[in-house]
Amino acid sequence: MPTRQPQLEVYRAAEDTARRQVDADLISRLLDGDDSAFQQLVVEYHPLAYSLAFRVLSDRLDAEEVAQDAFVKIHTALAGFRGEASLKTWILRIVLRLSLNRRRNRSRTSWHRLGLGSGDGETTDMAARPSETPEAECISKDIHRIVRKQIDALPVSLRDVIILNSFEELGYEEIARVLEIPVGTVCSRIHTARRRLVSAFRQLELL
Amino acid sequence: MNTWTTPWRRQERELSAYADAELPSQESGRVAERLIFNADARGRLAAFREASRMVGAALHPPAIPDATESSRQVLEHIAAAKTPAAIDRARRRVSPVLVASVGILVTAGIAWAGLRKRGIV
Repeated sequence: MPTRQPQLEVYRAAEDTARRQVDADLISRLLDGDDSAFQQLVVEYHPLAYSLAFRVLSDRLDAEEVAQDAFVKIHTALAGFRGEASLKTWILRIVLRLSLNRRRNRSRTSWHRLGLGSGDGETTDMAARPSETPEAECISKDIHRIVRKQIDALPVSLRDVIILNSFEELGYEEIARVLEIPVGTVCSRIHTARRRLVSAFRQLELL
Repeated sequence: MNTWTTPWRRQERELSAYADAELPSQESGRVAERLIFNADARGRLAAFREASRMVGAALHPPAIPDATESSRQVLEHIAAAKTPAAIDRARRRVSPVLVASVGILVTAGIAWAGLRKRGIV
């Protein structure tokens, strides 16, 4: 059974310190106007930014646009980065804010109000595993769509934590830093969201 | 909330954190012990884990675009924003606050002139 051993905590702390050192070097190069440093930053963090945007928006094109907008914003805001949070946390915060804004604006358009938006799973066609049969692929796509619908039905505060929790590499402390809430609140919200999802999945006979 | 439900909820929260391996080692050991003797807790833990797995699978992006290509596009976008034409366009853009202020001043001026004409002020 997985337990958070003291060694794991030490490892996480060491990783955090190393990451901050790398970030500090990168930021000082960026502030000196080194374009290759910015390219390095985009290459390093783009997959994470895109992944978060996609998890919020469920749309490939929107997610790509938001990720790019986020890096343009990061470029202009870098001078004001105070280093209170890690670069990763800061980037995730910006991407999350932009994704939620996009999601809110999108839901206001009549196209999405009619349920005809592209954010309903059509863009996840490529998610099918190559080894799956067409039937299995179809069933798994349906299940994913139902699960996403249940996640969308959660209150915003619960949805945000459950989306961030779906990243394996993000622990409760990092989620707390991104959302700027206490770790205890993260723990409590994840539990509440999970309880609701378990209950919904049971009603839908998915569990 | 009565006194009976509070410990139950706390235990539930612990189970959820345990599923994410987020409990400190001492508490984690306590939960692990409880799981040995409590089949109900094992069932709830399994449900939490399965729900997490389903959420992860449903939200996972199908493919991540090439980061190098994306970085090229971002740098192009930034470079385009730095061209003299773009800077000039940005400078020429009138602030909405300024437009609103001018609008308020003009309306107030017209109202004042109207009142003055009627001898009210």
